[in-house]
Amino acid sequence: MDEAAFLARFRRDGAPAPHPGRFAGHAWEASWEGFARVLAGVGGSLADAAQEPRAAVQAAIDLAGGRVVAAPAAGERLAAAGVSGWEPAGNGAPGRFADVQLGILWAELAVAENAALLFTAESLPERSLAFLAERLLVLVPAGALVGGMAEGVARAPRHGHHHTWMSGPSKTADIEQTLVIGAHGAKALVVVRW
Amino acid sequence: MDVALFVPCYVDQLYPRAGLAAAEVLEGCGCRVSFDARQTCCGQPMANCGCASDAARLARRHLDLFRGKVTVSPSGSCVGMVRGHYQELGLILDDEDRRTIANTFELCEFLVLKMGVERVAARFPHKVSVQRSCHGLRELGLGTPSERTDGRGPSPAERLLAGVDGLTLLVPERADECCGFGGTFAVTEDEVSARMGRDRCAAHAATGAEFITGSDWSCGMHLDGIRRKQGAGPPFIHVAEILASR
Amino acid sequence: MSSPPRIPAFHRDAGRFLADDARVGWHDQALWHLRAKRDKAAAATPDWEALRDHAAALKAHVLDQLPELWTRFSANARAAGWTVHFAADAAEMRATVHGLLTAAGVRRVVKSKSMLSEECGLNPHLEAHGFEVVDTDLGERIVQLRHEPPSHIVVPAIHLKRAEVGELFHRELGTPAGLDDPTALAHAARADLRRRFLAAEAGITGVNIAVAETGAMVVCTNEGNADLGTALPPLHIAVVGAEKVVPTLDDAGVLLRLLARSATGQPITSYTTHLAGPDPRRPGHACHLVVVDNGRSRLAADEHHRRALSCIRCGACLNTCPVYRRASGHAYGTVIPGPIGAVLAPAMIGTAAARALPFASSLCGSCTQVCPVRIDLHDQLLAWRRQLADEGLVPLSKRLAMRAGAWFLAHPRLFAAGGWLGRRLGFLARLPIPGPHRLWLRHRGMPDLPADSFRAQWKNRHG
Repeated sequence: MDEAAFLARFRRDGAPAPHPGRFAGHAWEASWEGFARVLAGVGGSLADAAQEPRAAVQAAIDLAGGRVVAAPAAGERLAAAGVSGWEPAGNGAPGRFADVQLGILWAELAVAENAALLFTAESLPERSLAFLAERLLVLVPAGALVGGMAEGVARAPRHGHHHTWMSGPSKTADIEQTLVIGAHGAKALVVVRW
Repeated sequence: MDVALFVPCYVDQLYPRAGLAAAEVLEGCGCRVSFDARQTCCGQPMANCGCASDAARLARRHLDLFRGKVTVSPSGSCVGMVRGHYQELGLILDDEDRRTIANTFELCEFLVLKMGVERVAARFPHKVSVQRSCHGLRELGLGTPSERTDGRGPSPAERLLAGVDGLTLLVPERADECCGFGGTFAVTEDEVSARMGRDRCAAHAATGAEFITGSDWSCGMHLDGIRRKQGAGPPFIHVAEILASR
Repeated sequence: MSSPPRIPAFHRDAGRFLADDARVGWHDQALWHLRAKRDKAAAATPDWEALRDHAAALKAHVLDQLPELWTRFSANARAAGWTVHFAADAAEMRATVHGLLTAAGVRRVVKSKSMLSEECGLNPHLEAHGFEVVDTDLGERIVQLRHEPPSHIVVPAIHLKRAEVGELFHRELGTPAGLDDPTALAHAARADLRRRFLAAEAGITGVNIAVAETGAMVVCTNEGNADLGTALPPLHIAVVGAEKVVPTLDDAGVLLRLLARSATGQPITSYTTHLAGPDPRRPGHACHLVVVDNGRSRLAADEHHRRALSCIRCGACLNTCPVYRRASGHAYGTVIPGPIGAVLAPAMIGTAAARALPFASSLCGSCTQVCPVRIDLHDQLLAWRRQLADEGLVPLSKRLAMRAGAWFLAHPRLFAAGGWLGRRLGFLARLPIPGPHRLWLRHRGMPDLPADSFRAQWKNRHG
């Protein structure tokens, strides 16, 4: 159907109800403790701050038991830190990550309110890695935590072919309301402050 | 204070003790109570069936009878009909009608919120489980529905019950789930209604209560009917009857 | 192609479900569990009620501005590389999607959950034309393999027990006989669907929110199926109801804070993906968005019921509804069951076809209290009842009873005399005379009938 004719069906006379403006809600505290608590509640975990991040990541790679692939933004950091045992995402068909045991991603932002991590077209140009890998290790800058989701959304990009919020691993409760981790995507998600 | 008693039609005919108890409690709190025998029904059954013009006929009668009065009723549901739904029936309401509507109160609401009564001199040495009837709770806003996060505290009825000598107030699991009465719903969707009622009876019985109480005999009629059919469980007693007990 | 809408026979189908006492108890408890998680999530959100107020105001604004918002959306979406289509009704939506798949030479399609595609009968249409359409949400996959509609909009297979899923998967996916562990079953489905994701030539998704400011669509899942379905195949077709647009990304953020908390008690879904057109790194990646009316403009023009279009499909009103929990979704006979389904159905499939549904409620009002966008659901049901009565769609027996009742009750002396007689003849109710009292007494015992009414006793005391 023609767009104009379609939209004409919804046209209304009179002044529209006003837009309510920006929502000024609760000021959530930007605390990693809060983030960790919510993340645990949605099936993920936050690596202990006491552990040196490079060592934590290297240990996870050494225990991966298979192919380890890092998204470009994560790969840059790993290379700079001298972490070994991973391969860059490279180029090719999106299905080439089907046998990846551990995917390493770089998140630009973390939200304490809901444990959401932000991935954009810059940090994660190819989305399939994030969903095909058996498990995910997410590096997030220690200073990139905000309190509330409203603040997180305000900082999300307005351009780029995608941005994705991820809160914990893949899950389902479609069979008898029993929680199962790893419905389609990652079966585990660990966040490391970098 | 002069108070016009509004006794719901089914309470008048089937549960007169609740009406008498309501009058007694009001008088005990210093009210002068009158009852106009021309009153019958607020029109809720018709309104709930969508039959607005039939309901409007009874609503008009009701408003004319109680015009200019402060009206109190031992039923959150019927008061909810007057306060919440009379404007939906196509009636032409004048300012006096609107005042009459606004001056219609559920018994405990009136006592606690209008008269400032904190406690009535009553004794009822029993364990009582409370049925938080939907219309009082969610339409009149008496108490805090379990869905809400902005607490308004306990309902006026529960505040008064808490002060009754010897009474242990119990709240069933799923504090305010509907009993399943729902007017004609109770017969048109009888299977669902009855299952809801059986579940609610079980929840009340599980508290170990000797009685179920509430502000509406309509819920009580249904729950008590289920109890009679099952042959076990706590009987229903209207909150007014507890407040009038010595 | 689509079959005519079934006239919901709520009473019959609810009765069928209610016949299995144990299953009803279990179903009720499973859904109550979701309601309890919702309560906990709401209580842990200090600005919850203000957030609901804000979302309600936002949706009211949106419903008044749909043409403006879609104009803005489609300009931005086209700039991002979407091809935007507009479909007047279900038939046009099916034809549009069908045409796109044919033009791309696609046969294998993976689909993530979309109530709109259910509403438009998309799967049966495509299957009848030789496409392989695989639903990839676990619950949707379960009901697809059983050849039945979803019974819930968020948890589509909530009416089934694990053993039934185990039998189904044994038959369809070759899992070991007797296997009924949810984790093992879900992982078996994962393995089967993973293969299909990798082989799919197109992915179809629904849309939770369309953002006018960015030209992006937002899709929310916990499983990640919409992400695999859009990240792997070269063709993505998104279908979106015309009510789902919001002005800005911040507005979308408000709804995101409400959606998952209301649905499952999660602070946000595991995956909340904003897609703004093709991935420039993927040669040949094509993205189409189909905006669908199918009755929405009619509802938008209905002053009494248009607020129902604010619905964000969280399912909270289903989970809290004491009737839904005991009757199950299939009893409603509509794509969307529960309170919101009963409110939408008369507008979407017509008052005659949906006439039973506004009455399938005790009007307890819990739905209105949980609704994240504050749709006055129980008052909407009541308003439909009035409209049904006006249109002569309330059963004649009920209308006559109400007319007679109102007349009787308008005559206090008659009422008093009738009551007096009734209390004395009440015992006759026990006789097997047909009438509505039989339905009452089937489940409930007779009350003790008092000798005197209130009015008689009052008169004795006060003269």
